[in-house]
Amino acid sequence: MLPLYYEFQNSTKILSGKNALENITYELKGLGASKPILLSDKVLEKIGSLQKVIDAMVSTGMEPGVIFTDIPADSSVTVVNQIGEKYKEGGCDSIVAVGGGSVIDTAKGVEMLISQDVEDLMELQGCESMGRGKHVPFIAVPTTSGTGSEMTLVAVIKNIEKSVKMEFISNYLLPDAAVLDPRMTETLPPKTTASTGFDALCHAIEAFSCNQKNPLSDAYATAAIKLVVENLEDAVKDGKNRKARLAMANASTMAGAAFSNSMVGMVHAIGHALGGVCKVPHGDAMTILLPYCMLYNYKKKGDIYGELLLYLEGPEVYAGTPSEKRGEEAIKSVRRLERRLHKMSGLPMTLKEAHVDKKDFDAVARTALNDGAMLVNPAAVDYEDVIMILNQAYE
Amino acid sequence: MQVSSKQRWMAGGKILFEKVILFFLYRGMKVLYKYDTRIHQEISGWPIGRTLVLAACEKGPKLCIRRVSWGIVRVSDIEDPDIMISFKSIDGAFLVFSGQIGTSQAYSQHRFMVKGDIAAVMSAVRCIDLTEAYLFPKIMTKRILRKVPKKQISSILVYCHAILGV
Repeated sequence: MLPLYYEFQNSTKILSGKNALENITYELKGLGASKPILLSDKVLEKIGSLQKVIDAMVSTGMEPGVIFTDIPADSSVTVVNQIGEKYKEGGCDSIVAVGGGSVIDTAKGVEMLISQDVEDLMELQGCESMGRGKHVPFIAVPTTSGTGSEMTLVAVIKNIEKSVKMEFISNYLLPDAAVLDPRMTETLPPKTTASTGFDALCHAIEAFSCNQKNPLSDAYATAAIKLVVENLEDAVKDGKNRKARLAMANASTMAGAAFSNSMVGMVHAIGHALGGVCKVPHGDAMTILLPYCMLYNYKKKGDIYGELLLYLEGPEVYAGTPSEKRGEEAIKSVRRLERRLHKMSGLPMTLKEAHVDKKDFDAVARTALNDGAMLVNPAAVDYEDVIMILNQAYE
Repeated sequence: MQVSSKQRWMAGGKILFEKVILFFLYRGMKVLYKYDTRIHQEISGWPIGRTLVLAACEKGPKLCIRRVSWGIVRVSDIEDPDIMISFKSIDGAFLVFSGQIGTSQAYSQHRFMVKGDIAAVMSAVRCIDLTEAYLFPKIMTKRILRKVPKKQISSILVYCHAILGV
């Protein structure tokens, strides 16, 4: 059914598959750029992933003007400002970000700083409040298959001095191109592969069920779910399986496009709070919370997950399941996948396994309620509901 | 180029209606700060001096609120508010103020833009939702709110206090 009104934007060009990295130069030239700043982190520099991008760019005739790899696990405004200065000093004209969510979010921060020409990023905080500004060519090369940040209009950047997490939501944050090359994710360890893959699944399921959903986001979400179900376990079993790696990179990108337009709900709201208060890695929090939150929404809103059984279990199981049971079966299917990944990679299934202390539940619940994702969750959630879910997920 | 007179009259009517709703929204929130523990708790959590603007559109009617030690006060204008919730059009605002859709649906439908800290916006949205639960009839709130909150004071009393300004 069509919503009364919806908006959908996905302007990012996707370069997916063999030798995708070698086309970065062509894309940059097409965007009018000749001297990009290359952003990444120390780990990717050490394991050689960054070098693969440099090799691909230099061999095709584009040398980065500046290379910056001092990006921490949580992107911060200090780092964004530091990079902004390097960008100007080096006479750069574009951005190439190689990394996971924090590197790409940092790159979005730099892009905002340059294109909006502001002194303090704090001025730009908010949702859909900024204009396009000056165009800064921006290419994202994701090195995990989970965040989908290369396709989203959201950036979260910490202001350590003021102890605040600044959230920016704008269509003008979308990169010009996302490069999905299987060489970029083949070094991910099995547990990280499982955790980030589950994050992608969570993006797709929440995108499919949240209030901002629309026919286009549904198409991306269901395609992403199918790819995750068919390839995540293969990628966890054998990290060198390029077919599975590329499929997972595509799943993450599609799920990113879906939730960028339909948003995520309570799983992410509580997950963000667990990350902030108890330092639970994002993918682990998503894995633990997803089935419990699905069950909560299912009980409050009825069969909003039934159709997903088709993508989670295939046409035979879908057709053989009575329509009123499909939603419940979809939740069970997610739980089964979680258990298999737990056996294969040690992915935590409870908050206890993730070393969460029950005394932090109050702070987690209060933080979660102030997360913007709560606004689009299909069912209303209050303090007691969050505490109930945390208790259910504890052991 | 000029807009048709029909469009001009309709826009005028909507602006007038939105002004009335913003009046009751502010007065309602002010009353409920005293009588509803949830709104009292929300507003008490705002730092003194926080400013909030709820605008029906860029140049349309707006509600400018400042947090003070005894609750909230309405001021004529705030140039650079801490939080700004601004509808993209008078018509989008009308959908919310006339109870056709709720704030959650309006957000889902990209009807407004937000400037400032999203966590602070969430608190303001919860206050608006709670106030709407008192100001609008149940048949409407059941449709626009994801969960209809329990009233801690009757709606008639809220309206009486709001109209009398006490």
